[in-house]
Amino acid sequence: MESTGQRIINDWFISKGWQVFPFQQKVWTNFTEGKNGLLNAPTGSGKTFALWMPNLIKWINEHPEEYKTKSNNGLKVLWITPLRALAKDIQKALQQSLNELDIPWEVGRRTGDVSQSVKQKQNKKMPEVLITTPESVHVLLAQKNYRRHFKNLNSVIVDEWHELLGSKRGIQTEIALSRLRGIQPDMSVWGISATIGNLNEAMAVLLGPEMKTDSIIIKADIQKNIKAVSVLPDEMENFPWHGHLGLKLLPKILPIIDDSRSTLIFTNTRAQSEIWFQNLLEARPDLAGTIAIHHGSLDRKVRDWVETSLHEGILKAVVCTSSLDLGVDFSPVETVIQIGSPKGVARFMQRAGRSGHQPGSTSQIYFVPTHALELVEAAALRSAINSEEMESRDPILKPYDVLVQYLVTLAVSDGFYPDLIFNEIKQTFAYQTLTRKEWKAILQFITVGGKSLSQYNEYTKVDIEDDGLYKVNDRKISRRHRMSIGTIASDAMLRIKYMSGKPLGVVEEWFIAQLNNGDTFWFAGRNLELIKIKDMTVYVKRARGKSSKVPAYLGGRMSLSSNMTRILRKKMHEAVTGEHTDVELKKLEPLFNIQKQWSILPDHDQFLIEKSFSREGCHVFMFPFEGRYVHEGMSALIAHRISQKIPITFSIAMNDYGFELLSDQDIPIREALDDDLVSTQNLEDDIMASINSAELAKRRFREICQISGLVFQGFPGQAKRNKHLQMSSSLFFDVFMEYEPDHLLLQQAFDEVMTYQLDEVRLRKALMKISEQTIVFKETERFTPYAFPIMVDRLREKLSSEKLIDRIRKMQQQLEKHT
Amino acid sequence: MMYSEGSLEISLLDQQLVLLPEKAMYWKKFKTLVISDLHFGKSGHFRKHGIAVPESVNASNIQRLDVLTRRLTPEKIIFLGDLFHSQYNAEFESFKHWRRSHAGIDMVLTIGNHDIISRHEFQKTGLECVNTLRMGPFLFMHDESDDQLNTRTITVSGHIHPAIKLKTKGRQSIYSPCYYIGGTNILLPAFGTFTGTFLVEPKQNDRVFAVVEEKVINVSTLV
Repeated sequence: MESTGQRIINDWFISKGWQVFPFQQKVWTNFTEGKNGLLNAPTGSGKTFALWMPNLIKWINEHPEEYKTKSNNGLKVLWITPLRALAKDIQKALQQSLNELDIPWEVGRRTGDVSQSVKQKQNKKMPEVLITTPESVHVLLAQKNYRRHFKNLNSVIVDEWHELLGSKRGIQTEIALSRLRGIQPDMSVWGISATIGNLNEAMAVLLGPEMKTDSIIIKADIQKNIKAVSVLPDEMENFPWHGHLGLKLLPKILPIIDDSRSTLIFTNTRAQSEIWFQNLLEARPDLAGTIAIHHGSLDRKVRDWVETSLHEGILKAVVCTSSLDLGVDFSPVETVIQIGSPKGVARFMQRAGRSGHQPGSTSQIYFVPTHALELVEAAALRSAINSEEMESRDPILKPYDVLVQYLVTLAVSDGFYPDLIFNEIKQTFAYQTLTRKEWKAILQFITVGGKSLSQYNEYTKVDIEDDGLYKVNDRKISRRHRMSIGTIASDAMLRIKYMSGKPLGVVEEWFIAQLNNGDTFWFAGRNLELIKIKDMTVYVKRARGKSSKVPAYLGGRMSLSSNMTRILRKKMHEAVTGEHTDVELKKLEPLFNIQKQWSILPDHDQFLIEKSFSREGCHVFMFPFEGRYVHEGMSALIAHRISQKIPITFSIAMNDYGFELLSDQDIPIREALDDDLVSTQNLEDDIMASINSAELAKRRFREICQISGLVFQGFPGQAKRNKHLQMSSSLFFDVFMEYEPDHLLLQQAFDEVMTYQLDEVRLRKALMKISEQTIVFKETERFTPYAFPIMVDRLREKLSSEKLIDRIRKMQQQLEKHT
Repeated sequence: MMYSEGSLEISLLDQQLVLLPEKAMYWKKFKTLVISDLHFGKSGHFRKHGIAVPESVNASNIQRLDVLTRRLTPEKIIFLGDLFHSQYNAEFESFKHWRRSHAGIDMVLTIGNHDIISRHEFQKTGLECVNTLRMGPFLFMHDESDDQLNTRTITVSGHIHPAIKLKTKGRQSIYSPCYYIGGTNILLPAFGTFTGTFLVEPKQNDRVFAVVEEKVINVSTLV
């Protein structure tokens, strides 16, 4: 028997000319029966209404006489989404449905973008539905008497869960859910996820390992056809693989933009989005006003305008980063162009899914390689899509820094009792193995500062009150903490404003430090001239003429998923045997021929090592094809092993195909190979030793410092107020290494390195594979097509076993030789 | 030998100056030790504001200062500002205690921007507080940019926490704190640990002495 609520919603769908899909009905039924679960549905499939409607069905059923009149009900539905962009679209759609159904609920948004006045209104009167981000939920938990907001909470929907899973924002979500469950044990929790390889685990992570009520995974039976087309150069002329291919292909995407009503052009970095936008405008000034740029550093109003215009169909093309990544059912575009490898099938398909309107129709995505070898990735991507192989998103386990931040959050608002919170935290997937010892250490850190009282004399953060309540009483500390809630590590940022005061966005301090007054740079799609810097704000005006610098964000590099590397190797094999059908591999034949000529085109059973000399020194390249993350660990291990035999200093670079060791002196690679360089013997010890010498932990520590509150950046433009409390994470690292090497956050850094870069299991597997291959050693005159992309990378690690003083003396000697 | 092995002696305006690898300078003629930017109490300052920096940082600063003082037995110590990082905290007591244990040494502080503690408090500790100090051909002060006087004097200052970056072959670089001797100024490295550094960009004819692993080495030709 159909319930009243069900009937009313059905009728409404019919009145809109919509069909209720079977998967939607299944979600509605399970939801209203009280189950928790995970909906696996692609973008544009109707996933939003799948999880929205059952809330209304419940409402109608619970108040059949008053569902149209009962208002001011407090917060009932929390909708968590990773991105603030397009939250407006969701809000609009949900609010519209409520209006049409005469349900007097309000839908609000609460993200970093939302103004203080709106937030204050919400604090007084919460809307029934709140669309928010994981960080913003934590900011709410930092509010005095936060419990009052959640008294009536019925359900939490976590949208795009695959995106949060595997990041510290996912941890924040898990933690927030544990607290909300503590307040409302009976609330429903549902996630929405794109297809990934580990959906069952994804649900366990979201709901906790011991899901109390039944839970279920529902798969949308939508087949999304995706057609991936590579944009190819006409001629692979001389040395096409030298440097960047990307912009040279700009003329080829112009007709694509022209022929399409709206196009999203995804780039992998902010710098790339600025560069492409700039060049697009230069090539086609007639497009000015109908093309826009969108990325995370732009001012909220700028982004708002782009999002609204996109929705209203005013814009022909938007160049963006993952800032516009996440799919909504309500703002599809016609065409999607991806610049540079998205590094993973899931992300590629998701972006492809942004295009096209009706479910069932084909989504088309164009791929523009930024360097020649990326064409192989394009072929691999297409293979992966066709075989529907999706990579997994592995959850992060037990990160102390996020837990530290959370506990201080609770201490800042109402205070917490440790035993209660410990029990809640233990029920999350991430912290299920948290020991009492670890918990004690964390409590000690936030109350005492560290292990010994004498070391942390005068430390004030969290106090313990007489009844055992852990509470922050210092108002400055509270304020600073509230401002820094979040898990995304950033550099010190400066605000950029026009002289009139109109804000454009934020940019890294170190970029501006390179500029003088009068210099021009490109930002927010505009050519700007630096007028002056005052009060941590950069004042600019529009500049004429050719512009110069684009802020080159030295951001992290993505890595190919292990799934993709496997497919990549398959494609490389096809390249070797010549038995390929992909148009991309055909195009690359001239490049493969050069590689063959100067070196070899390695097959499955071969491990290629290339050695060459340049003015920079001696270069050794190795090509395991295991993806960037494995190469990070392997290169450190190998560099370390060599450095134990002779004093030598390395600069190390890597990509998904291989890595480079560069030194100012000859690298005795042949001797090292004879001496167990790539063996699995002593692997554990060597891994431990490599971590320190390659300084991998230091880099991880930077993020940990920010999340745990040791390093505080503050809001852009406000850093000056807190300059007296700033110290680099590098210094903290050195201090702890010297005075407290078992510091829990230091431990976390080392653990992360062991898990992500120097994972023993994975490294062992990779080394064993090499041991089964024939090592092919080539001394090359020049950098080969394989080597070149690695060699030019500026993002480098270093490792040295030489004494600094000796390195300097060497420099002096070299200088004397030349004078 | 009184000075550590890695020390480097230079001559400037006929004065023998010993650049110590401990990151302080010794002026032979006047048996004077010149130290800059200790930032005592910085770790305590952080702790008071909820950032957990261990006290060992400060303790080790006091200890290094003491070891150096006992070895060189100067008659006078000039602190070039930023002796104490912030408002009074417990770490100030350990400095007072140290000062008293060397009651026979003349100690002068050229006030720096971080020396928020009132002069009165410093003077109670037995430190003479001045804005600048002229001795021989040198003018000692905290920050060279404060120098409004003529440039015929050589100023000796700190505040910057100078470091130098040396680029070598093989896309490597070496960072190191340094002494930076420009045309009219001697810039001392920061003595305190946990102070951070700032890269200087030397010009032609400037002299740069890097402090590398307990040695002071002339790297002027390499920058």
